[in-house]
Amino acid sequence: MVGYTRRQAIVASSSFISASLLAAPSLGQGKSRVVIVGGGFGGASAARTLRDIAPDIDVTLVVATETFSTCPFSNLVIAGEIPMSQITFGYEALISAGVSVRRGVATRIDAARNMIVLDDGQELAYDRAIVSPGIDLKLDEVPGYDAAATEVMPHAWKAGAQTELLRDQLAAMPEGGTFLMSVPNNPYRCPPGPYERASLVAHFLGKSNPTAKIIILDGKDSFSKQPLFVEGWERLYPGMITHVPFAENGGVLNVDPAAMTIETAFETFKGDVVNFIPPQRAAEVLLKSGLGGNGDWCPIDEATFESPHAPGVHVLGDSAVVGDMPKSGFSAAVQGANCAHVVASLLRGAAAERGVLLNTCYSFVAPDYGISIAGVYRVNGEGRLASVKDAGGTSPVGANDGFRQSEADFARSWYTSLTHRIFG
Amino acid sequence: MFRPLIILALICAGGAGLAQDTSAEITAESCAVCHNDSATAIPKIGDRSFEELTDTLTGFRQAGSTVTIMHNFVAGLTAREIEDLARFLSRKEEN
Repeated sequence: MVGYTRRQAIVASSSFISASLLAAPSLGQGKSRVVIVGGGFGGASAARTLRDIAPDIDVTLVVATETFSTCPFSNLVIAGEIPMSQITFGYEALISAGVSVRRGVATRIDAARNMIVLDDGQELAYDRAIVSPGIDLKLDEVPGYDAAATEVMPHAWKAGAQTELLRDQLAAMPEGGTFLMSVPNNPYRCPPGPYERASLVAHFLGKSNPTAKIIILDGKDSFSKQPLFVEGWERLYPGMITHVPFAENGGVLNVDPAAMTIETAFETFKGDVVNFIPPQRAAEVLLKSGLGGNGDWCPIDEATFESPHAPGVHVLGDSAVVGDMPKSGFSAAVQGANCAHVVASLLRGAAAERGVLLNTCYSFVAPDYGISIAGVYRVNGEGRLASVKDAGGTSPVGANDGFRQSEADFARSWYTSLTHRIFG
Repeated sequence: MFRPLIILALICAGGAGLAQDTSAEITAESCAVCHNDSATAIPKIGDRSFEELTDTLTGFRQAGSTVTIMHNFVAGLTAREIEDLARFLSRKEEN
């Protein structure tokens, strides 16, 4: 998909470009500069697409870590099906494509000065910025769940060390033990993710620890793809998974990592392994820079992704309220590509064109049993990126084993293509 | 019986649409997220004529389809958008 020039390849061969080179040029001279914050699906997709469609624009991608581990498929890691290395990607392909990849953490978006400030004190000047730094977990929102508690009751909601910690705890769980999960109310990253996790944990326990139980304490009463998940649970794991909706738990009051308990309004639950997924918000750098207004998430112009609080700064992915689109890696990848077109047009003085945006998300109920949901989104007359009526939906309930196997195959293809498109 | 339908998978919309003025090139970005790797069960978009693409996409509208998601996408596109998208994708592969 990507064509790049020999010059770009030579520049890229030095791998990570030094900060001094990036910070040098000033506005209004030579090529336009786009700085992208966030090396996940949203940011990396925007960078890759910009290199494809706009060789006249310099693209710098600010990434927090040398490699990126995906949340999609991380539940397969927790269940011991695949190693972490299989969901971890470097930025070599982006560098080869001509993207200047810069290690660093953005600490401030200074829209008044068109600058991204990094944690090492460097400032990156931009003509337009695209920011997609993902979520932060709201630690201390639930009493008892602080940074130290994450080492005892892992959230595993950012893929990496937390994923491996939960995997190891699951593998060491005593016979007949309880895997206790807490899931927040909407909105949060990856709406069906917790239920896929419960499914794959059940698959793992079914093989090694069949008398074990899984309890899901939910902050809401219904959830994404619920009929498909529940059907799968009844077929594959009868009696193993108990979903306790908000109406039956009254909400989490506090957690006690020492006792391995979660107290709800109605009852205290104890787990041998506790996977506590806390409430979330947009990455701190965005809220600190005022891009969230008074809220936890960043509002945007849903046709252009531009922040009403920071002209010239486009926000996408899990940090932003992107119309009706769910917070998913696939959504972020699609938004990143769309935003690249918007930004390229605006920098050329043209109006931003609109397309239709799609999202699709597969979940595993078991490694050979897949389910899916799809959505179609377009900007309506009120400027909202709205879900198109009578389009989208889930795959059917009641399908046979062959259909579920094929959805599991599609899920793997979906992941391979998604990551190949951006990181391959 | 499932496989041949899988092979049809292509998506999307675009173009100077009817009520909504959308761009086929931009909509095609969503398609490309899945349909870019020939080594998977999801077919790569390539070497397909305008007619084949139009027929395939329009075919997803038919009732009784056992495809998993494509019919849900195509339901959100106008006939004009499907045509524009097929035109864009078929020309793209000539390059």
